[in-house]
Amino acid sequence: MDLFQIIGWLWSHGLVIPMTNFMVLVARLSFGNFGMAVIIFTLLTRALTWPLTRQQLQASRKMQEIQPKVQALQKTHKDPRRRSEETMKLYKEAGVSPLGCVWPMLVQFPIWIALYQSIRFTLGATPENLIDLSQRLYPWSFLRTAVPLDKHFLWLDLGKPDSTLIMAVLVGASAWIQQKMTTPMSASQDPQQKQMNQTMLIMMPLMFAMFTLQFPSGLALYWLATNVVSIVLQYFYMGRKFEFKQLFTLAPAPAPAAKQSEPEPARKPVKQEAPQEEAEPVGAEPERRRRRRRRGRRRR
Amino acid sequence: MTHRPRLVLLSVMAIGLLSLAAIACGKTAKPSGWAPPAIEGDLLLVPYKDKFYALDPQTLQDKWLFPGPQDKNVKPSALYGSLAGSGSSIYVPAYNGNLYSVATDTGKASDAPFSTGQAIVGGVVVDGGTLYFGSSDGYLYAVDASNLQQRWKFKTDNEIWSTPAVSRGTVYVTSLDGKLYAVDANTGQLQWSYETAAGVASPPVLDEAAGLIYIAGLDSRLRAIDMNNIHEQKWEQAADNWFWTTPLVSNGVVFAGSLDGKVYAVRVADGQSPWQRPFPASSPVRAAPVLANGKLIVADRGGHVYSLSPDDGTQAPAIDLVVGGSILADPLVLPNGNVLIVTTGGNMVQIDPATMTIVSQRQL
Repeated sequence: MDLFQIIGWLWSHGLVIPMTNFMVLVARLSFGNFGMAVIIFTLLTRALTWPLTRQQLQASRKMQEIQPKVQALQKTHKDPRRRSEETMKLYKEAGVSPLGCVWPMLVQFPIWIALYQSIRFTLGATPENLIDLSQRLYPWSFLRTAVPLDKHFLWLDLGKPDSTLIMAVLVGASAWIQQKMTTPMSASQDPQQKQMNQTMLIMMPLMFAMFTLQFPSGLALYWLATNVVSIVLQYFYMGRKFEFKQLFTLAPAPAPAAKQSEPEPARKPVKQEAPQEEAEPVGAEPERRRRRRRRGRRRR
Repeated sequence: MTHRPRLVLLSVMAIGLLSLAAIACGKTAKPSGWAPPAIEGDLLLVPYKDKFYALDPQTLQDKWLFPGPQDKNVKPSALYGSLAGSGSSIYVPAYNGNLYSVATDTGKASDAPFSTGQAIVGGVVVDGGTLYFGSSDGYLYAVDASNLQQRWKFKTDNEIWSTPAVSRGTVYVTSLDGKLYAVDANTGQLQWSYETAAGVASPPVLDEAAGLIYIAGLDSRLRAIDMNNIHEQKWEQAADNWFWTTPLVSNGVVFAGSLDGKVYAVRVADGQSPWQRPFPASSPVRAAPVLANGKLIVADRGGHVYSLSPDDGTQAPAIDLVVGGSILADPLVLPNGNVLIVTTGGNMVQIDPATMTIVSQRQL
């Protein structure tokens, strides 16, 4: 057995199969209703991963709090290297890691994918899928006799894409709200950063809305439930500072901390620097001087 | 690397990972179909995915294909249920929810199929000019074979994925609601029903000589139900996983494979097994066993084909014949005594059951 097979086995038997069985168990306890099972299972998973989510939200909040200082640094320093160094210093002093809100998300990512796969297996959308499911269920009569699950929930057939477009709109809208609330560098003046944020703001909800049109609505229900939970957590954990009128603008929402305090002036060491000199990249200055001298000689 | 490019990179990575995960994990599974080959009149019908080939049963030469060039708008999606023929028509239950009537001489579909609106997974049976079949909408339908007009429909509490059986004016059908229903063939009125512990996706098999109906269910039980008087269970055989196959009855013994990868044999008379132990295949067994040349031919999902002695379940000859691909469709015994197997990959294999060798194979 090579390394990939071991990882595959661990992935399957350590995450996906237990989750699949747990999903069937929850469905059985929800009177066989798969829609209720998806929602309950999403809530339970989010509760279990709350420590990681909290860490991510804390890091995100800290990042937002120091945004005014970061912006001030960006205005003051033209040299990218120096600007980066100063920003990193600022992060260090504030006890913030720029990747602090990314790592907890990346750690949760495998859990989301496994959850995603387990929903797909449990759905048993085609007869072949149901045979696959039979090979993943633990040999407990309570689980095995629960299948096939009731795939009808509200107006949805959870094994098929929603043809009414309602789910696509709901998933897209909830992804939009969530994206609006979690865009960390929201008030950045950096055009590159701003463009990237705007692209993500539009692309992510659109992407999920498109997926919803193609994938079984059971998965769309999971995305919707996840988005709603994330929005609620974000709203309460970030101190209810999000303004909902911001949802209707294309521009990223301003950081809450930025509104409360005026941007601080540049830090002391910055004042000592010569702006023009600072803007010159290393090695460029002597070359420019040489050119000026040459031009001067020609005029003479 | 400064933190901004790193953030850009991470954002792109996040979107990329999300897209990959969604595409890899969530795409709607495409149904493949496992309709069994069948002989109807002078045609050998070999379904594969969303089409079927009409071949000469002797030479295996092509006659026509459905849907052919004349049926460009016919898209069956997939074929799972057994086809049935009557007179000049072949009736095709399709996963797109339609029942097609196809002319035996040309392979052309009739203008208007009968539509149930939901996937048809089970097969169709013809009896006295009426077609009986179930649909994922939960109804058992009785349809006039001549014009595809509905005569009646009977509602069950879940999807019907099995082929009904008809005998002496009664239609028997199983449903994923876990019940076996006996319905009047003329009126569609319920006569009686029997409830098991979980859904039933296998068709009921009638044994009129013994007065029993065999149903193999997702509760991992093969049951014999009295069909004449008290409609109660006579015996049951437990497996370690679901039964999703058509049991075979021969010489007072019922044979059935299970998704636990074993083949079970049960005596009709007392529910005991004539074998010392179930035969262990190498993977789940969904395809129904067939008898050929006095041997029980069993095919598993992994593509292994076994020849067993029906008396004691021993393998003879002890050859694990492996055909390329997975086997989910029931095999068929051809007029020449060979066994025809179609894999999920479209490999049509003809096997000599005496020697357990491949006589011919063709990629569909």
